[in-house]
Amino acid sequence: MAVSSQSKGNNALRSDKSSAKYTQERVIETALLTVASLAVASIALIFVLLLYQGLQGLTFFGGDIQPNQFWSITTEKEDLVRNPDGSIKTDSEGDFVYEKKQVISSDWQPTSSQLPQYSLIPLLIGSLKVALPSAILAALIGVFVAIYLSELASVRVREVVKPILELLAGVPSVVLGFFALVTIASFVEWITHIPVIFEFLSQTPVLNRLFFPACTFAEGSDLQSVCLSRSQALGVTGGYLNVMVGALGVALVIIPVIATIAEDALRAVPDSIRDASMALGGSRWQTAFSAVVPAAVSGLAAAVILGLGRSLGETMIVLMATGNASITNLNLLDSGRAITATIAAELGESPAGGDHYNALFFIGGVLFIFTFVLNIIGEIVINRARQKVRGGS
Amino acid sequence: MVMDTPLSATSQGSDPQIQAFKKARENFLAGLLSGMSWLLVAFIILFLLTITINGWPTVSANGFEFLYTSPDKGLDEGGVGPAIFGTIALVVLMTFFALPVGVFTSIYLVEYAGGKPFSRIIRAAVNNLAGVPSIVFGLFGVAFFVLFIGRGLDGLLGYSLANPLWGKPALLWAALTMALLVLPIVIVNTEEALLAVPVSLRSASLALGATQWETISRVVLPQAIPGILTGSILSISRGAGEVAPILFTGAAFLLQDLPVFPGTVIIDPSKQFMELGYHIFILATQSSDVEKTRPAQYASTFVLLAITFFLNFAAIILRSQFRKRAIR
Repeated sequence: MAVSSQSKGNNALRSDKSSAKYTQERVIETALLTVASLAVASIALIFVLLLYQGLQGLTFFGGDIQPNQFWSITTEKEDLVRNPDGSIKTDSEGDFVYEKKQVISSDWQPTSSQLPQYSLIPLLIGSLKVALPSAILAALIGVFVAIYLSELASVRVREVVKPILELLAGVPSVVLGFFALVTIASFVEWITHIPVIFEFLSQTPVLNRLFFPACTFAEGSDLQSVCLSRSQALGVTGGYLNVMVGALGVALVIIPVIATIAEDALRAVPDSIRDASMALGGSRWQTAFSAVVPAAVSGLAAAVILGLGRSLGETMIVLMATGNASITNLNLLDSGRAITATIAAELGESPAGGDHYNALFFIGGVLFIFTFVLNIIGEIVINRARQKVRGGS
Repeated sequence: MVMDTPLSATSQGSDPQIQAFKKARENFLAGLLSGMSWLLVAFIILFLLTITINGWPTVSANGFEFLYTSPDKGLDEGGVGPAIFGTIALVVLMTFFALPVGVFTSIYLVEYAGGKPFSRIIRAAVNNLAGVPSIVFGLFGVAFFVLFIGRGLDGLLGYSLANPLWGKPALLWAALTMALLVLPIVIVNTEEALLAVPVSLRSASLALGATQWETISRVVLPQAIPGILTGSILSISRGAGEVAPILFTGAAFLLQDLPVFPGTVIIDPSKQFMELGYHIFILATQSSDVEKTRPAQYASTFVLLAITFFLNFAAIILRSQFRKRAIR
């Protein structure tokens, strides 16, 4: 990688180590090394700080959050104790008696005055509800566009499509968030109201759980009939801003990401493989699909993994377009609250050093680890793929 | 997809029916792939048109006063003048921090580190820094710059917690946070530019007795300037568009004053500032009457898009210029 020719340069200097120039060179190199270490230092500092601040909220470190609150699906709630006859039990002084009960619930309600709740479950589900659909959609479109551009399109077409894709890559996410808010939201509402599409989404077994859960009940039940009226079903399941709107917006961010990495992977496939396929009589399409794509498949996988990492970390679109209610369900036409949006929405109103503030750093740390791991996996897969393609040529 | 069938079958045409079927399948795939690509292109154009058609009338009304007037009546009326100024102030300060660090890091990586293990660690760190979610930078900025360094400074300088100078969101902290975010962009582009400088130039300089630093500063860097410029422009474009890192480190809802020292045009890094991207977010989600400010939302979005596109376009042109030169 490096074009360093330092050995030559330094040999001349080494003959006289006491010279001012030699000292100057060493000082400069050390200074450069120090500056270069800043990148390493900052990523380490980010991680340490998230971890440190995030753990401050836990009971071991002086906070009030029980560690199991983060992942528990039950919550302790104070409740009035009732006598066997149903009346409210009072103690000798006439005050109500409370008892602590385990209730099944997993909420993110850090500002609740009685019992703040810090379950990560709704946030994780919220993040995945946005990230997975957007990554799947963007993977389909991004990889197909990459195959088209790299293998099949003429040079002229490439010269038109590539810059337009680069334009999309340069669009700030807040702009796409705004677009999602004003245009994609209406589009989603319109398209889910189209009778054929509504029937399809609400009557197909798996899809109806994701889009119209009210329609999953047995035939003939009341809910089934509710479901048959579209507007009511849409009224039941979420509003104008929902996870699907956010996911479509996020897909626009990661399509160029996936397409660029996927195209690099395809272009890294040596021409000898294409030539061999062509020489055997394969058409351009056969060559693309049976020779080039299989050779580049790990690179394509890496593109999708890196795209997923980006979509998990996307903030502004999710904040602006998904509605942000912390709801634990799988309905894509319902509101959802992703980790990123939670931090963005709540950090401003949480006093520094409090439990809520620390909990936001904790979920920031969780997000950091997720994206870090996805990036590392992506990098490893890309490097392996590069070596394989080079070695195989 | 067609792996299981021998490739030769098509060309030799063993069976005309099978061949016709294969032809149809190929045409279908061709249609699917090119159709999808062109659909995406059409969609992107449609998206740009939507923003332009809805934004342009407001931007161009009354001699483009939208571009230099302040927001009025809460946020309901007026222009984006302070937001544009704040965005410029932010990216200027950000570049001031990110450019030297990025360029020096690249110089170390390309000219000094070679295959040293530490250079691999630096590269891995840079790659991962590029993948950190932008809101995490925001968290880091609040905890490290605003609260740790800012409050620390206030303690040293004798400002109280109730009336802080640095221990609050400020342009300086937003710029530093953003500088971290764009650092990988500067590094990657500078590295590419440095690597494109032929080794023969370095050898010639060294052979004439120049030291390594003399070679780098007088021979290599001047050659790499277009590439470094590309990286800076791309990072400015990114910095102008990101909102999450500055949400809590310096951007403000609505300010009457520009972030400058009173009576001058010198940027005061301790002040909060309005920023275009943040302004769009606030207008679209927090303003009192979202429908009423819709034209202003489109117009602000149009302005931000125009700025980032202009910058990206400049970077693309510049890059193709220096790539051509590097090939020669």
